[in-house]
Amino acid sequence: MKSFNSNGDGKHKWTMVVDLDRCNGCGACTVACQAENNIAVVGEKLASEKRTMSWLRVERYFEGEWPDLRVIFLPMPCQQCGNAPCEPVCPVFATYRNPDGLNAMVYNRCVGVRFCGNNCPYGVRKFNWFRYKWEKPLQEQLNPDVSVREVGVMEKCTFCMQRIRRGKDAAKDEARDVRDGEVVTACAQSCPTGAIIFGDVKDPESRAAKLVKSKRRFRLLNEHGTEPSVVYLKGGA
Amino acid sequence: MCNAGCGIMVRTVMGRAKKVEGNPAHPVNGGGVCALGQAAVHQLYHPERLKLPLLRSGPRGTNAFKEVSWPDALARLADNMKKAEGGASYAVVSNPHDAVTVIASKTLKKMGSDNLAVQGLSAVEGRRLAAASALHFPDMAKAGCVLMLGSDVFAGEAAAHYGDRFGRMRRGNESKRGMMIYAGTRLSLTAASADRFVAAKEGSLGVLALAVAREYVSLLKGRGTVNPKTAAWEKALAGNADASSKTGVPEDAIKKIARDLYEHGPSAVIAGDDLTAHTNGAQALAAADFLNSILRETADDKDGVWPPAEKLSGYETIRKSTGVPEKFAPLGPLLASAANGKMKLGLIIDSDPVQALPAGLNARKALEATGFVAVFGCFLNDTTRYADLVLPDHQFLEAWSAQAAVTPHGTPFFNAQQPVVRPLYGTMQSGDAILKAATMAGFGIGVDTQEALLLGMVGDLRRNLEGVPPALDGKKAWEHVLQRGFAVASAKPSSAPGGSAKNPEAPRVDDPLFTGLAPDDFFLHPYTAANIGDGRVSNISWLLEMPEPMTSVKWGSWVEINPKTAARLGIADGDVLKVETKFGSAEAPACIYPGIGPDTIAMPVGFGHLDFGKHARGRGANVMSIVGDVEGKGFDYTAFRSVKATVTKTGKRMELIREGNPKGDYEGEVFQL
Repeated sequence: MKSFNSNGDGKHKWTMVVDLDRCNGCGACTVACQAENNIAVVGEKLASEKRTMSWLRVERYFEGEWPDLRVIFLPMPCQQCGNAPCEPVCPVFATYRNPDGLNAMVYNRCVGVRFCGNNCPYGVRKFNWFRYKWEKPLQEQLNPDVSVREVGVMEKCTFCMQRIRRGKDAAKDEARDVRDGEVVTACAQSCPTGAIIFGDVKDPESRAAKLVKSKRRFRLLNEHGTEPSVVYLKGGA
Repeated sequence: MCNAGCGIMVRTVMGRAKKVEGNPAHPVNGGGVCALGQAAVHQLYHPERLKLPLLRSGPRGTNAFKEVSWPDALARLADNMKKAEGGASYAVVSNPHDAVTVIASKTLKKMGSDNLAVQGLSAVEGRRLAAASALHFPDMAKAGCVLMLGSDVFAGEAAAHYGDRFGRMRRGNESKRGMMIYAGTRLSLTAASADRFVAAKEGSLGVLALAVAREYVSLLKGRGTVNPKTAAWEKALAGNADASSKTGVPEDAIKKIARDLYEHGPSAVIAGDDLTAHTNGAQALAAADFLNSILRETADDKDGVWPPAEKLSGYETIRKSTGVPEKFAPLGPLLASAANGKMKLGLIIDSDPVQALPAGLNARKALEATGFVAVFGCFLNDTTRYADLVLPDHQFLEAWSAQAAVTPHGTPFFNAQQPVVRPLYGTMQSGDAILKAATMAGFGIGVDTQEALLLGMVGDLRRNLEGVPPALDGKKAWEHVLQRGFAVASAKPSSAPGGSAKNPEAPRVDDPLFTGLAPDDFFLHPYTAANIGDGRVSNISWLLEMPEPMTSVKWGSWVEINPKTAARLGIADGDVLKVETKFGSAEAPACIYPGIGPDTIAMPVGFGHLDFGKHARGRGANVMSIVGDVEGKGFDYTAFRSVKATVTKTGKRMELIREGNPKGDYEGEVFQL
């Protein structure tokens, strides 16, 4: 089958570094994501069926027994895999890898077979089973840079593609490269502890490029060969 | 939404507010924004906002109103202001630092009253209002080791501030990682991020502070660190031998805390609710200060854990120029005198005392006995049920305002806040409404609008703000500050605050008292959860759908119970429990939670509204409705953990809604890092 997927040969390679030693699990990132990306509130009933639409969740793990407990928080957005299990199973190329190395979604190609969600080992893809409503005047808050998804399509974290585009456009207008820190995702921007660092690892001077070399680095389920673009830094002393 | 005073910027598109973003230069939040702050845009466009003034049309307690015009509403308010001249009026506000509080304070004074109280002012926050001692303002980011004494700072007020300082402490410097030890009665969100969690008995943290101080001083002596006060400290701390049995913390664990504070210094203690929310709270806070004074004096503080006195004293100048009160009336006596029918006028501003205050304070009775109650806010809530007049306020993104406060790390600042959108409805800023009515009643304070008051403030202030060019007049200076959103108060040469020059005297910490029904009752631990805070935002669906970080529960409240206790009592997750205290009972589903001691149950505050729109009404249980006082101790808001409760199964079930995936949840061995 012909692949639409790029091999990441573009100018940028967007990477998110999540420092688990800083993350305090407060959840600010999840609400920032909701605000930025027009993520629907599904309500009490659908939430009880675990059908929330959040693109980013904070997982938390307990270890031990009272009072000797340890807790680990782990923010989980789409890992934007370099070798993404979701891509080859899409029959209509609705999800594909763009030249910046991101797994992008073309909503109006999606026919809703949900193979991608089934194949994602991270469980970060969310399907629009229903048509969600924005009670007036809440629709006034919707971000005009992000499409509101229709019933029947799959959606997920885009690494705030609209912000990347805005940053690239500004750089192009001024005939320069995108500066480090110029493009930040909504989650990274809101994070009070500075646990989420976003940047272009093809820029060797970027903070992200330096942090991905940290000795504390690891990637989730890397043994599956998914090549995630989210790099975690271990917590603890 | 909260009182922290974070600097925010709002992205607007075609006159609509889209997204809240942090101001990276602001001393409170340093660019981050918590979940509540993010939800401000949701509150602005909330479908249930009030649009016009409401006059009560049914009996009190029913929330039955008819819409009236602003002139009519203000005339009624002015009329009742006249009737309440003398000491017969009071006001309850939520934010002690805001311009509307200044207006309420000045207007009340003009009417001959000083009954201005803050809803739910914590003891730690109350102390910061006076900014009297550098000991109250340690900067976590600069410390090598912090001991959190029951301070769940990541879930409470100023969560974004502490998040910022914590991130810097941990990894601001890759070669030196700061350490956090958390001692408390529940594994809170903050405790979850600590390097070590030390479980202590309810109400014992003051004793623990003194015990740690004693061990620390003996370490000083043993390792030959010379300080002229060592002998005096030793003497002062001599009487605390049975600390281990009182606190439930083993002797070697206390020693280990002292050793970490000593070895990783500069160190500091940050006090919180677990320490202060008991009958011995004031003494315990003094004990924490005492430990802090020793830590401060014996560490090499080149990094600046403690704010210099000159910096802190800048606050006094801005506080005076802005008119932010230094002290507030205690709620207990104030509400008691209102309940006795002594009050003719009550102004309830952006607060919900009926829902948020412990039942023991009896805010409902106080409002019922008040001649005329005017409530200012954006929504109908539990308190508006007792209102004669409801005056719809601008949401803060539509309003002019200012705050003068000190960050928890000791930087005094002045915030200037401008509207980011046109007001959506025919609302009026509460400050403006009070000023207009007061002027009509003859209690005017010399300005007509809140904006004029702000201009006046900056006129006085501008020479005391850093970075404001002296050549600018009041209006230009205000614009200058507005463009940046804030200004830091300039440092003043000072001798007063910051000192610990007095010879130390270790405070005595009494045993905490509890009110219970039977000796084997559970300690009841009400706490603030990170998703809906103190309940002011529990009508916002974004926040209700956000999982509470520790339990991952959403869309409701719960009773946390230790797994072993639950097994002993045959309680399963989702069994509806009846929690009963001397003051009443509440029902909520059980949440089996590993981070709570076997003799304690915990419940989040902010749920169980009688009224607050369709999302909040009747959702969950209001733990504050079953909290009251310890006999004969007098009661103010602060000792809200002095109640014990019984737990019984009701036989009903209510599955908790948790975060998860429809495909199923990960249930394997704990993820190892």
